[in-house]
Amino acid sequence: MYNTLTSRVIGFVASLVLTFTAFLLVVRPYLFHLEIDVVVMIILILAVLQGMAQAIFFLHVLSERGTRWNLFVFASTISIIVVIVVFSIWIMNHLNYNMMHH
Amino acid sequence: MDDTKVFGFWIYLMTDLVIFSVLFATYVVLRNSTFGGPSASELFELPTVFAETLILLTSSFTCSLATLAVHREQKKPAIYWFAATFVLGTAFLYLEITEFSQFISHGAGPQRSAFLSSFFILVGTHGFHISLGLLWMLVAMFRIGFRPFVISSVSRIMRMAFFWHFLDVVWIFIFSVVYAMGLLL
Repeated sequence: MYNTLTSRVIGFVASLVLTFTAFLLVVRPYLFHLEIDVVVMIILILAVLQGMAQAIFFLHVLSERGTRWNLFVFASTISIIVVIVVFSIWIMNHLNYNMMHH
Repeated sequence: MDDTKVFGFWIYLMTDLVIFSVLFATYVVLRNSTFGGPSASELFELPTVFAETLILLTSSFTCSLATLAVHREQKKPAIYWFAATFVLGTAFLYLEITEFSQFISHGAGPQRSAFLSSFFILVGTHGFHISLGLLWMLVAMFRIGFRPFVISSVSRIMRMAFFWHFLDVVWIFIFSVVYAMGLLL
């Protein structure tokens, strides 16, 4: 089922829908009367969904059998990334704040 | 399939992901440090980014069609779809270089502010990966054209396609974090 034209076309349509939604939100941020932070959050979630769509429909990660070592490496990488990105932003924002006169 | 090599390549991709995430973190920390220069919302143009995103998404699709042809051992469709992917990738790179040179000619080069330094290094690193991917694709097309399909060459082509899809996903995050957030916040 995975190595078919259908799965690729579904993947392409899904990626287009996700991208058009993201661009619509950038062009008309107040279309759904949401706060701008929420809109940014939705765009980031759309990006994650896009990555998952590419992985499932183009790379067929779900069809792979055998060891789960690649999943293990992926999980470790994600945890490293979360530490680097989230904590960098957190520390630097507070650093800026604490260096100001207030 | 050559499982060990695919796994090794997967580990390489994961380390590459760490490189990109460090650059993303740097960009997000420095994105408001414009030092009196142009800010993200003044600089970025949505139509260019939209074209770049659509081109790269379509190239990801044509690349997946090429791998389908490789799986079915059809040489000509494989070369045609990889050629289409190559043309789209080149168009993307052309748009990106045009955008960079426009920024630089408007005095918004990487030395203007911390924001622009981090922007150029993040987007430039992605562009550099795309160029390497295009080079690899060219080699793959010649190999398909002049050599018989054997398991090792199929595995090699699959790793190249893997790399291309990976770059597409990284670009989606660049669009979201750099361009969308730059225009919205």
